Amino acid sequence: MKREDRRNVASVIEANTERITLKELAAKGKSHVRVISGRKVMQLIQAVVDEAIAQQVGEVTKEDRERIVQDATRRFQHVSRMHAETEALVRQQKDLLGRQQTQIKQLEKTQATLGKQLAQERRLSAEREKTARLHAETLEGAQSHLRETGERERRMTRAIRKLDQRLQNSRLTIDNYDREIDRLAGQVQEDVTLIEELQEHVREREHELQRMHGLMQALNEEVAAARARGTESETVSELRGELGEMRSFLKSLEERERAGDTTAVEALFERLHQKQAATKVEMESSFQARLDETLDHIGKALQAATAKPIDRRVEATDVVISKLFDDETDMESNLQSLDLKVSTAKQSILKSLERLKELRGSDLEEDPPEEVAGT
Amino acid sequence: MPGDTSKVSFDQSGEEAVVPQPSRRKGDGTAPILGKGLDVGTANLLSGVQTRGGNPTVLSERNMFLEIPSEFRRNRQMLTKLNVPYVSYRDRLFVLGDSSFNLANMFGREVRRPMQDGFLSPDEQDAIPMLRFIVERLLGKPACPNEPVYFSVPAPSIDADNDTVYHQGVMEGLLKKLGYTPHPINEGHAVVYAELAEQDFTGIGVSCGGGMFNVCVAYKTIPAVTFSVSRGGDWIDQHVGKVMGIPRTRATDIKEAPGVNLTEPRNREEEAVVLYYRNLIEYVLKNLAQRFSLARDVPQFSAPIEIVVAGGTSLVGGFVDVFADELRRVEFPLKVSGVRRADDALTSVVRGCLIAAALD
Ligand SMILES: Nc1ncnc2c1ncn2[C@@H]1O[C@H](COP(=O)(O)OP(=O)(O)O)[C@@H](O)[C@H]1O
Repeated sequence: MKREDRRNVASVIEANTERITLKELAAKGKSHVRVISGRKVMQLIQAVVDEAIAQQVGEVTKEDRERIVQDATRRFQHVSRMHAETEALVRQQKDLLGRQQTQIKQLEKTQATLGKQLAQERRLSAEREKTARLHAETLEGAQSHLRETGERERRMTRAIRKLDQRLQNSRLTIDNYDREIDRLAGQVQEDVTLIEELQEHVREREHELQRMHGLMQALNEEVAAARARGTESETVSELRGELGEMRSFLKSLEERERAGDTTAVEALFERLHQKQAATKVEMESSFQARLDETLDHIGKALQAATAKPIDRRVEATDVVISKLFDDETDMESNLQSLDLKVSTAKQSILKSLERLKELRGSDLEEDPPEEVAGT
Repeated sequence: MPGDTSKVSFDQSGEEAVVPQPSRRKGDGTAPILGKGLDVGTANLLSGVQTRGGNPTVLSERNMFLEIPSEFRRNRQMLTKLNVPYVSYRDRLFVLGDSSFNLANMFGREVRRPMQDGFLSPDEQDAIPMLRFIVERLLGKPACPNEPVYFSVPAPSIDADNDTVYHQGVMEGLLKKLGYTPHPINEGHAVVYAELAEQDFTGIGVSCGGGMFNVCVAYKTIPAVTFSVSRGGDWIDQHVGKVMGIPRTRATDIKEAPGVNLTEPRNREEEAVVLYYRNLIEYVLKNLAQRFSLARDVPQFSAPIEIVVAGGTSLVGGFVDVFADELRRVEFPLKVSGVRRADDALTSVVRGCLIAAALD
């Protein structure tokens, strides 16, 4: 083989192999490698060619052999070039692949980010939805609140109206009360008139009883005179007649008696009737006693009817007041040692006083005004 | 806010009352005057003395008391330190006047009142002793033996079964025991004495108290018609409380709050206050009209007369306006020249009593 061919083969090999350090190999996990030298490769090619020639044509010429070697070398170079191109292509592809892989990685990253964003978006939108729901609920709440407030207001208005009604009613009640008072005042007036009538009546009765007493006296005297004259029995019958008259008179008196206690008078009649036969003196004294008794009775009844229970109360009060001041042993106070609310009146009394004195001294010659109770 | 009127004059063109001006003849008014005045009111008791010259000195106390539970009997010194008047009496401890109001909550007890509707309360067992202690505190010792005291008494009420005789009897008994010579004077008449000098004591005095309204129509110092109604500030509180569904004390606060004006209520509570005020005034005026037309021997007033109102219940803003307004509405048998509130409405009655005492 020519020196030039050998150089070509070497450069082809050079071009189609890579130079790697032992360290790198070790790093790739290779502990054993097969090593072939460039010269050996050339010898192998020579041998291959020689064998091929011998098989095909047997004994060839030197020129032929030269030509074949050149041809084989050319073909080898061609194949080697093709191989180298393919290698380059592969490298290119590898590069591309690497770049694509990084791109993919980036894309994956982007996807992850987008995924996160999406999740966040989803969360947000869920929240937004919730908020919206809440808003809706709140709105509804507000609406129902409004409705309630309206209702409450209506209730209040009703209550106020009721109150108004009540106020009206109480005004009416007060008016009724006034009318009732007027009516009662009228009744009281009537009662007063009645009591006055009653008093008048009692006075009349008293008067008549006195007259009767006089009459009895006269009768007595007549009886005494008759007795003296010895005509007793006649006189007694006469007297009986007169007593009968008196009785009917007393009866009429009784009829006129309305409010008073008449049993005493009735008893008196009974007594008179029974004692007709008794002695005149006895009769007279008994009558007098009855008369007194009756008068007393009537007087008491009247007093009881018109007396103020207050009189009794005032009496009792006097006792209470006396007691209050009498036993002061168990009394203790700080009244005298404490200050009182003291103020000065904003108005003087002197003007009134002077004017009153003047009036009393001049145009009013009467006593200083007495307190008069309500008319 | 509407202003408060203290005087309303009615236009009586050509019919002006001839008001004789008092001439100052004698007395420079500096001499000390013996005798005391005592306003015995349902809500407040006031005593008055005329010192040398000047205006009368007035002492006052709320007419109420509180019984302190017996377990606190030992704390009497503390009460004195707190300036709280107390009386320990028959093993019981009582606090008197304003302080009882303040202490009531603390002891979980209700304040009690010796009087009701103008008279000694028939249901209050301790009324007489408590009244005695308060009166004793207000009057002190007599300046001389049997010093005269003129004390106010209400006229009989037209609408309640109360008894002036009993009430007056108790007051007289107490005052006598305290060393005074008691003289009753009608409450409305006292107002006439205190406020109607320029009208020669001719006109109408109305004392508007807590328990009642007292009316006195006077002709030249002489009372011609006197009567009372057993309604007053308390009655208003009670009804406002009931109708508004609030406690009575709350109603009192609403009524007495500053700025209340009967002519311009600011809320429903105040409207209720106005309603009952109007009702009460109308009631009084109607009764006065009726009384006047019924009474015999009433004087013929030739000129229009003035109405003077006094007492705590007349203090509310717009009272005089509402009074005048109600007066226009009722058929009133007398010509009225105007309505006026006493300048010192709270001391009117006690000043009237004092005038009567000084006149003695
Ligand atoms: N500023 C005010 N406005 C309305 N009412 C008031 C005012 N001050 C006090 N009162 C009422 O006045 C009444 C007490 O008045 P007062 O003249 O002391 O009565 P009394 O003569 O019955 O003791 C109470 O009903 C109280 O609520």
